[in-house]
Formats: sequence, structure tokens, C-alpha cells
Amino acid sequence: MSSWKTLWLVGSREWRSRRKAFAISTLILVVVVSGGLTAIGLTAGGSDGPVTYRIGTVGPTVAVEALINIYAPPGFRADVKAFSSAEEIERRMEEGELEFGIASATEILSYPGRSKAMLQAISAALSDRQIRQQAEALGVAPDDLDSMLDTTVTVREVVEPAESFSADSALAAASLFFTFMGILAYGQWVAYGVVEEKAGRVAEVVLSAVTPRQLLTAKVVSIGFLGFCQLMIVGFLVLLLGGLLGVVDLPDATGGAFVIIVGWFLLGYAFYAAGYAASGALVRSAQDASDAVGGFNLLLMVGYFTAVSSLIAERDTLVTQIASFVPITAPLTMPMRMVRGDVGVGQGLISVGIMLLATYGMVLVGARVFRQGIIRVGIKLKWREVVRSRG
Amino acid sequence: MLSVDGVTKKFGELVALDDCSLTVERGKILGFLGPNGAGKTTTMRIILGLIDPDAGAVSWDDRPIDAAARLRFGYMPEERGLYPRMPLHDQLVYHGRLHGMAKDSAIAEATRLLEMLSLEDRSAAKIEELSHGNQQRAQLAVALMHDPELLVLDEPFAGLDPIGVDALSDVLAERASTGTAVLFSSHQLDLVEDMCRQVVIINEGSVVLAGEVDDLRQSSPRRYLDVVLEQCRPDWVQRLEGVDLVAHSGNRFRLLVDDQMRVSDVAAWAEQAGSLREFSFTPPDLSEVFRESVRRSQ
Repeated sequence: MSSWKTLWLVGSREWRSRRKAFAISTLILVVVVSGGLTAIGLTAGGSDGPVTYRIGTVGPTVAVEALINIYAPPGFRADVKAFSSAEEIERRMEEGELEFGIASATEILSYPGRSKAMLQAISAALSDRQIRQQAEALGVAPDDLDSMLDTTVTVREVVEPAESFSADSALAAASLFFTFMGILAYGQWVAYGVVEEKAGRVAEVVLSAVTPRQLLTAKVVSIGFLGFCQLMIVGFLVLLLGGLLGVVDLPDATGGAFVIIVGWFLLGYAFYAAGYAASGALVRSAQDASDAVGGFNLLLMVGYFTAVSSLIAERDTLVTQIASFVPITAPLTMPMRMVRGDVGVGQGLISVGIMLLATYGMVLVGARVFRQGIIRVGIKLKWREVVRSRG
Repeated sequence: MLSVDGVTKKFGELVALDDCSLTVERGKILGFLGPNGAGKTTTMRIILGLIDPDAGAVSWDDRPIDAAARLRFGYMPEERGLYPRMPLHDQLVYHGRLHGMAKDSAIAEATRLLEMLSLEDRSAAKIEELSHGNQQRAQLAVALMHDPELLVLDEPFAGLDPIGVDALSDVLAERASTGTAVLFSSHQLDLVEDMCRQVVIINEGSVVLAGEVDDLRQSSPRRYLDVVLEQCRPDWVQRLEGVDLVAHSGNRFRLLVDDQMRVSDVAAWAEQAGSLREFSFTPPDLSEVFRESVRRSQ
């Protein structure tokens, strides 16, 4: 029988045995995420409902504000204030007092990646005003206005205030949370699955037909695939509610952040799942299952709190920088730094390379420990003892 | 033919197997005997490739056992193990397919085996819902699913009632008659004596006795005398040299004698001691051979 068929058989049994738990946990996540996003959409910008963007302009404000609010999507509102010059508006934006600025009839000031929906509304409002003014000056009849709708408005990005909790920071926090929860939850599923098979003695029967490496691979890949699916479901839900339906205003970088989260989840999961599986194979009985996950949970916590400390400090600390190249902590710290824009592509690739090597090593060691430990029931085994022993 | 040749295995300082050898031919049933901790399970696990030997080799039909060969083996471990929440029929199909069966064949064979083992009405039940005896049968069905060429069964009769023992004995005999090699361990030596022509006795990792059951019994240096003697003096046995009283109940005496002792001498003593009603001179049964060999090896 081919190795692929064996992997498929073992993996599909894993899926079938976990379909109920997967469905329930996914449903809970969907409800929590959609509820949370809807609540954010409803409450953001104050208790009066719509999200309010502060916009600076030179000159009269009333007509501009009215026009922008006409073009703004539901749930968004413009609060336009007058300033003496474009420089003054830019300065106020750099201090975090304004989200957008109208420097002239054809130039909008914006932070990088800030609300595309509101940007389009301002742009449309300016175009509309410009067209009407030109039409009026030229004596063009309203019916001819359609020909003038090609007016191009440029957007110039200005420096975002450092002290504000930016959209990128929020995305980084989300990436940290989902990567951490994904690795923790699905890594533990692997450990508990191994403990169940070992304690129930079924591993001995299965291993008379498949190799330990096949059993380990099928278990890790199939459970990891469930985690990947769940992450995709939640990710698309966020993009759908936020981007398409406009329930919340997502930064432009959300799509890229999603790719980073998924990629690092898979890397981190592979590394930790091999370790969780090996730990599960070392326990004496099902009662010791918590021992199996405790060590790796602790290691994950180290990465999590290192990343959280950087989020709270709102800066790229030295500890986080180092941690993002250490395999134990990198799956949590590096994606957060990447999403926040703290690292370039080169550093990211180096960390990925280190992680791939470390994962390969962990899979080799994990498979060895798994093979040695999975059928030795009734005695508590130690990593060192099992790694050193033969067969 | 299964051949285990000079296998040695250590776990740290503990020598689990020391130069252990045995063979099982196709169509034969070999009883694998030994006290607890003797190395039987370790030997079986090495045959199944679950652990590697430190020295020695295991072969099937004179070739080293690879993954493909192992798929043609059936295994029933000492500690029963099946997925507790998987329905019985699904469980059989799953294990059959792991051994390379096509889905349709596995479904048909699972149905046939469940009927054969009188479990057809429990086919949809989860393993955890079955009685202990039925779980034993389910475990046997898993081992038989793919019509294995070699059956390795670790204590298959443990915990079975007499009807279950008979059913399992019949199944093993039927499989052996179709050419399957069967290796099984058991502490129920009377059962082993009934089922097997050949046994291997192992103690502390080493084979201490191996061969045909009848030969092993006949080659024992001891014989048992069963005597029924009426109106005898209570101390008549003590007056005989080279004779040990093994058991005594009423007028019935079981005596252990050296095989060099002349039967006629003992018979004459017995007739002098009382009224002789029964007299039989037999070699030790398998359980006595087992005890002797284990005692000698210690």
C-alpha cells in the first residue's frame, strides 16, 4: 500500500474523530468574531453610532462636509474643520489630531493604509465640487457634467503619529492572538490524540501496520489542516464583514497580514505539533495528559508574552527582535513584527529559514521520541532517556 | 515460515531477550510460554517491528521482514486496544484498509467476520459499549480481517469464558488448517497442550525449552504415579526412597518419581501397603514440564 494512501486513511480518521469538536469550536469562533466586529462597527467613533473621521481643510467647511457625508458609506461620518494652510493640516495630522486633510482641491492628505472607504468618499466629494465649479464657470449645462467625471485626485501619504495605537498595531495584536491560539489549540489536539492512542493501547495495533513516522505525519498534517481551515474561515469572515460589507473599517494591510498570519501559523504549528506529539508519547497514562502539554504550553507562553510586551510598549524592543529569530518564540514574535512593519523582507526570510531548519530538526527528534515512547505504557519516560535509547 | 534468530534486546541494564530463537511454520500453531516478564511480549513486538532488536534477526520466508511483509501479519496485543468511540464495523474496515484491503473487500470481510464471531447485531455499536468478552472478539476480528499469513497473538485467551475459549480455539485451528502460521502466548497451559504440537518456553529472556509437546513430556527425567490405594497405612509413602508425594486426597495419591525407577518395584510396594485399585505411570503434563524447565533455568 502506498504511503500516501496510508497517510490519507490515518488522516481521514483523525478528521472524522474530531469533526464535532471542530464544528463547535469553529461555530463559536464565527459567532464571537462576527459579533465582535459588528459591535466594533456599531460602537466605534462614540456612542452616537457612525465612525467619525476628523478632516482638515483650507477654506469653507460646511459644503465640503456635506458633500463628503453624501459620498461616505453607511456608518461613516466626516467632521471637517478649517485650518489656515496645508502645512498646518499636515502638522495637526502628524500630532494625531486629524485622520485626513484636504490640502487643495486636488490633493488629499492621508496616513498609509487608512480607511479606503472614507478616502474614496473625500475624493468623490472633491471631484464633485470641482466639476460643479468648472461647469458653472464655463456655463456647461448639468446634462454635460458626465463628460467631466474623469478628474483625477492624487493622494499624498504623510507621517503617522508614533504615539497613537495604529491600525498596524491592531493588526499585529490580532495576528499574535490568532497565531498563538491556533498553535496552542491544535498542538494540544495532537498531544491529546497521541495520549489517547497510547493510553488506549490502540497505537500498538495501528503501528503493526503503519510506521511511526506515517502515524505521526498523518496526525500532525490532518489536525494542522483543520487549524488551517478554521483560520481561513475566520480570516475570510473578517475580510468579508470588514472589507465587503463595511461593518468595520479595515486597514489596507489586512489582506497581507492575513497571509503572514496563516504562513507563520503553519510554520509554528509544524514545529510545536512535532514536540507536542513526542510529549504525548512519553506520558504514563491518560491521567498524565496535562504533563504532556505543559512544557510546550510554557514555551508558547514565553513567545506570547514577549510579543505582548512589545505591543504594550508600542515599539520594537531588543528582546522582541532577538526572539523573532529564536524558533521557540519566532512563530509569535516575527509575524507581529512583520505585520507592524518593523522588519523588512530580508529579515523575515532569514527567520523563516531558521524556522524551517528548526522544524525539520524538531520533526526528526519528535518522530524518534514518538516511536520510542508510544508503545511503552505504564512508565513515565524522559526525553533524554528516549532520545538516547535504541529501538 | 517465521524465523527469530538469536535476538537480543536490552532496556537500559535490563536484558529483556538474550539470544532468543524460534521458528513457526505455515499451518502450525506454536505455543509461546514463559512466566510474566520472561520476554514473550518483547519478542512479539520485535516480530511486528514495533521495537528493534539490539542483535539477531527476524525473517519471514527466509527474507528480512519489511513493511510490506508486516501488512500480511495479524497482531493481537496483550493489552487490548481499539478506538473506544469508533463503531465496531467501521473499526474493522479501518484496520483492514490499513493492511492494504480495498474498501469494498474490507466492508464485506468485516460483515462476514462479525457474523462468524456472533457480533453482527453489535456492528454499529461503539467499542466502549461492548462487553469485555465482545471487545476480545472484536480485537481478534481486527487481527483476522486481512486474512494474515502469520498471526501473532499475545495472551488471546486471557479473560475469555469457556465458550469464548472454544470459539477462539476453533478459529485458530481453522486458520492454521488453511496455512496460516500462528504464534500465541498463554498462561493456560492445558489449553496450549490441547492446541499446539510445538511449544517454546522462555525465561528471563532466554529459551529454556523448545520442541514437540509429546517429546518434551517424554524427555522429562520425572514420572508421575497416580495410585488409588485402600486400607493403606498413612505413612506408606515415606517408606519409599526416591518417591515424593505431590498430592493426596482420600485414597488417591499422586507421586513423583525418577524415570529410572522401576514401575514394578513401586507397584509391589503399593500392594504391600494396602489394597491397590488403580495404578498409572505417566510423564509430566505440559504445566509440569513448564515449571521444571523454569525452575532449572533459575
